[in-house]
Amino acid sequence: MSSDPIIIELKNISKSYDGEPILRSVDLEIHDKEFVTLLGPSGCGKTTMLRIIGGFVTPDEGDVNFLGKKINDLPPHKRQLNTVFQKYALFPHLDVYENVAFGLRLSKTPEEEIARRVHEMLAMVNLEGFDSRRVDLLSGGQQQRVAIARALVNRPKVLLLDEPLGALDLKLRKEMQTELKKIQKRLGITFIYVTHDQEEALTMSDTVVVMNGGVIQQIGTPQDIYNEPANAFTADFIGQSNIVPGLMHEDFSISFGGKKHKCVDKGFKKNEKVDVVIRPEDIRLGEVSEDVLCGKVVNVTFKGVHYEMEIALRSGQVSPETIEVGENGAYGELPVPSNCDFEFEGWYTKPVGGHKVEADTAICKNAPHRLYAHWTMYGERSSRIHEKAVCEEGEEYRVYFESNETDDSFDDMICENGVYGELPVPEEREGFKFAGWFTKVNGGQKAQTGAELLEYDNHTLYAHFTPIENGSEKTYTIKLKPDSGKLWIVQSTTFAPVGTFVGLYIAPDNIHIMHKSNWRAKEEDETDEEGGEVK
Amino acid sequence: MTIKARWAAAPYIAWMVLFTIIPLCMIAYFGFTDADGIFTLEYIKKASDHIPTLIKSIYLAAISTVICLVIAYPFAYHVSRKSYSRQKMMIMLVMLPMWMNFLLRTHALSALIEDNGVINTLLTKLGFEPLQMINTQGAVVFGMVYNYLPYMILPLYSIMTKIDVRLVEAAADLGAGFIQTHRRIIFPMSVPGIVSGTTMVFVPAVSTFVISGLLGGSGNYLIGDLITAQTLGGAYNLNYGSATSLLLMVVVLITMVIFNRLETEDSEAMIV
Repeated sequence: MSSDPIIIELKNISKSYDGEPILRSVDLEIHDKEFVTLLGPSGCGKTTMLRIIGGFVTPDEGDVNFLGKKINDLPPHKRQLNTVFQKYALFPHLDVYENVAFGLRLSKTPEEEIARRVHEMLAMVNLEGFDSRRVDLLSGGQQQRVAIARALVNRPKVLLLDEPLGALDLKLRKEMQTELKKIQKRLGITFIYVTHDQEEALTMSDTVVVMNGGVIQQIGTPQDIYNEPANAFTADFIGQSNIVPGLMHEDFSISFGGKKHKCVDKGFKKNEKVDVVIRPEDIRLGEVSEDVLCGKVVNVTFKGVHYEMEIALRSGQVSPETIEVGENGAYGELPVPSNCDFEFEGWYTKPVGGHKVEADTAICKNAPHRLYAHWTMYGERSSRIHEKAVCEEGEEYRVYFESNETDDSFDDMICENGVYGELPVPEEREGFKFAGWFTKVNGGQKAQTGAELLEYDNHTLYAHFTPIENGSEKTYTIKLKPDSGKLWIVQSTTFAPVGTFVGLYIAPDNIHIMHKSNWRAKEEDETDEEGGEVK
Repeated sequence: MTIKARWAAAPYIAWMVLFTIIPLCMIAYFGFTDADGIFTLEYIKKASDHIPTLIKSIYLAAISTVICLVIAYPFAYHVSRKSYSRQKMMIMLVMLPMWMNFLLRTHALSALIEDNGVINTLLTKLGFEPLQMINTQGAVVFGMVYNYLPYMILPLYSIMTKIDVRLVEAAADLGAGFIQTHRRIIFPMSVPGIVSGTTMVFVPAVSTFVISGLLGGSGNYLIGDLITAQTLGGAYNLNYGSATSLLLMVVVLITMVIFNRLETEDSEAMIV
């Protein structure tokens, strides 16, 4: 950051009002000539922090140092800093000139010097010729300029600004942002700027201090804060973000939204639960495919450069903590049946979808789900339903089997009667009971007469086994977390109408992974605004 | 809308005409005529003989007003910086004496400070010399302050409570200590309150007769007592009383003009 000396140092500052903690052991160093922004939602303690620096609020604990000297007990009028207040707080009984001259009169500056400095300041904030105007007849922007001039005319080492642009309209605010930044550069003094507007913070600051719940979440340059948010709160508060729970399998491999993804992060614990942050502009919409997240467009807003879309993922997510699996706790620890003629293919659920169960698998909401062991036939006995046909008389399914080893696969055509009966029934293995033949693709349907197989060319048949314990069937129950309902926000230059399904393509380096935290902003009013009493 | 607004004011206007405008005209009429209704300046001249009494009235009322201001100003400021519920409670306490009739309060006061009153009885029992309290100028001033203090506090409070805390903080931020903040911010901004408070205390105080009558004795005969004596009872002389009233009204009018000038000058000073 800055190589300039530290001008203000907060050490272990705590403050609470009526037992409600507003700041919790905050440490902060502010360098000379720095433009520092305290950024956070209402009630995060940023205003209180500014008021502590200004001397209007005494901290319950901790020290405030100014150029290395403790100033805890110094009243505001003896501190070498000036404040631009939220609603300007201009003196209504004084004109523009006298408002600006106020501080200089108190310091008994000679009249000529007052005049010179006041005019210099008014010129700087583009208010030449406004000397004798009444302040209450000025526009918001002009009042703001007077307030800035009134504070800066005293040549403070540090200027504190408490949401100074909050009352201005958007265009004026943008103008003032650039102007303030210019003023700060020209005067070469420290600005400490409080705002809840992240855009303002990013455009103006050298350093952004992100706060929430009375705690500093992250300190960094605007670029750092935006590109490398330290936690999900910062990611959520700075810019827009999609934040979803995920599971870090190993380095460079994460699953979220029901799919496994490659990523560029490493150094997490194996199977650590994490927050995954994806910026809306980093998602590319494309064809629906098995390999990417897919969802339905719920809402589209035109934003000029791009469309902002809300997308509901197709299914809910099963995060690891919501699955209960019998005794051993995790899928990996389910008893894997011993080797035989069949190759163990994994654990599947049967109802709706026959999904393979893995960490963070997307499964629809029907609960509970029973787990089945899936087996594929080895070698030549591996069979495929090659073609679906309905016989003309009576509803018959013609199923063609192909052998992996012979080209003449159609010989093994089996028709309705006893179709499946002629499939080799696998030997029952210890602890497992044969549950029938199933297809995996699209629904995991039981292959039996009357089953309506959807129009896939090739169905591999799998033997289904239910685990048995002590002679009776054993059920592994999966409890599902309901769909969180949170919509994904996507900024896309391509348009997709509401109601269509789209695939969400995300490049590995755009998947930001961070340790889990309680990131949601506390929604409460700024209690610290009116809290200060005048002594 | 304007028509509606005019009609809304009608009852009060009728009231004003009947009980203020007409009586004022009658006073002016009686003041300049004799018992037979013939124009004369005789009573005005006679009333002018009472100028020393008038001066004494003004003097005592002015002292009371100043004392009220000195007490009310810091109190009102103190209250105005408290939380809303505290403010309400403290202002209720200020109003509390006003729930009781003015005359009764003054009587109670006289019972307290009379030669054989509560305080003196207590003093004698404790072995002190009794004090002469009633029938002194001090008693009159005390009575005025006691009765009119709320009228000073309320306008001051209502002005001060509107002074934003941020202005005080801004002043402190710019280097003003407690005294400078008051001198440069609070006091100039309270001037309208001071003016209306002063008017509300001074005007009734200068014309009082109950307080001076009950607490001041014969030695502290004020202009209000004089008018009462002239217009009531055996000495009934409406023309004399009206002339004296006119004199008092001129004084009150002049005071009001001065105060209003003060206020506007001050607000002009804000602009210039």
